[in-house]
Amino acid sequence: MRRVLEPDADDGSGVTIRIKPGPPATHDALLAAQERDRLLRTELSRVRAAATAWRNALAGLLTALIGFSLIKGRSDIGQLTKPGAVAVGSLLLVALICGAIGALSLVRAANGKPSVAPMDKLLSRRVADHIEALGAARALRRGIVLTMVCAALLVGAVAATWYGPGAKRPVLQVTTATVGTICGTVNRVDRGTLLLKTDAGEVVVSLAEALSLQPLTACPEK
Amino acid sequence: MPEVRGALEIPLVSSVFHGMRTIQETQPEQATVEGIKDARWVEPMVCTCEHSHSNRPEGSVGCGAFWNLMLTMDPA
Repeated sequence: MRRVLEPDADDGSGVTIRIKPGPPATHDALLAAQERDRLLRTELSRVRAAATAWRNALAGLLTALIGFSLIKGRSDIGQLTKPGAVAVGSLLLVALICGAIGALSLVRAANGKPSVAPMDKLLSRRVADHIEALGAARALRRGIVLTMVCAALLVGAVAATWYGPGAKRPVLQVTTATVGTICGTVNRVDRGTLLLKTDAGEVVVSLAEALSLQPLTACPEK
Repeated sequence: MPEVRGALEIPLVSSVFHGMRTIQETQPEQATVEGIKDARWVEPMVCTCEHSHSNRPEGSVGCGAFWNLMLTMDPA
């Protein structure tokens, strides 16, 4: 910016800035100049404070999400169909990437990034602070968006795990005095009989003869 | 008329962080120079000298001087 202050300066971007005296300044110009000066002087500390507040608030949001997941539904994506498991896995992967980039962006906005500058490239403190403040503001916005996307993806993954289609239909194990124990998926119930699809084929069982009915996630190995 | 013999450093910037939005200040030509033959704006300035000056209010900076600059931006 020092270059800009020199008359007929070219900052290397192919743009020439010429400076000359403007019209007489009024009281409004004084107020505007004072406000600009105040905003610039406090810019970096304000963006750092905002970043710290957002970082803490979003950390609280993600902590609340963990509490939300304690309300148990299905918790193993292995119980989903293969496409469902792939979808949930993809959601979790994207959520992880968004969360990691978002968290790093928030940390960068709140604390800056370590840098080493050659002495001949050093800017004045006020200009360097302004450039850092704009970079921190960009990182803050990116961090907020990515963290919110991460939270939404986590909720979507939990919901898909809870309500997604199961990998296997539940089975019913029936024990009767005459036939013994039969296990299979229920095809139909009709006039007091139960049509079970078992590994050996379809079996009709009279419900009147059933000694016990037990729903299972899978038939026991024989 | 107040007078300052030291150097003043006043950054001229096109935007500044303001809460959760960044204010683009009042020079639309400044942001997009391409294709503009003669982008001009008036920049209000105030002295921010930190040396001691008589009759300066407690906690404030400057010598009391304020003025306008006319900036003209020409694409090469």
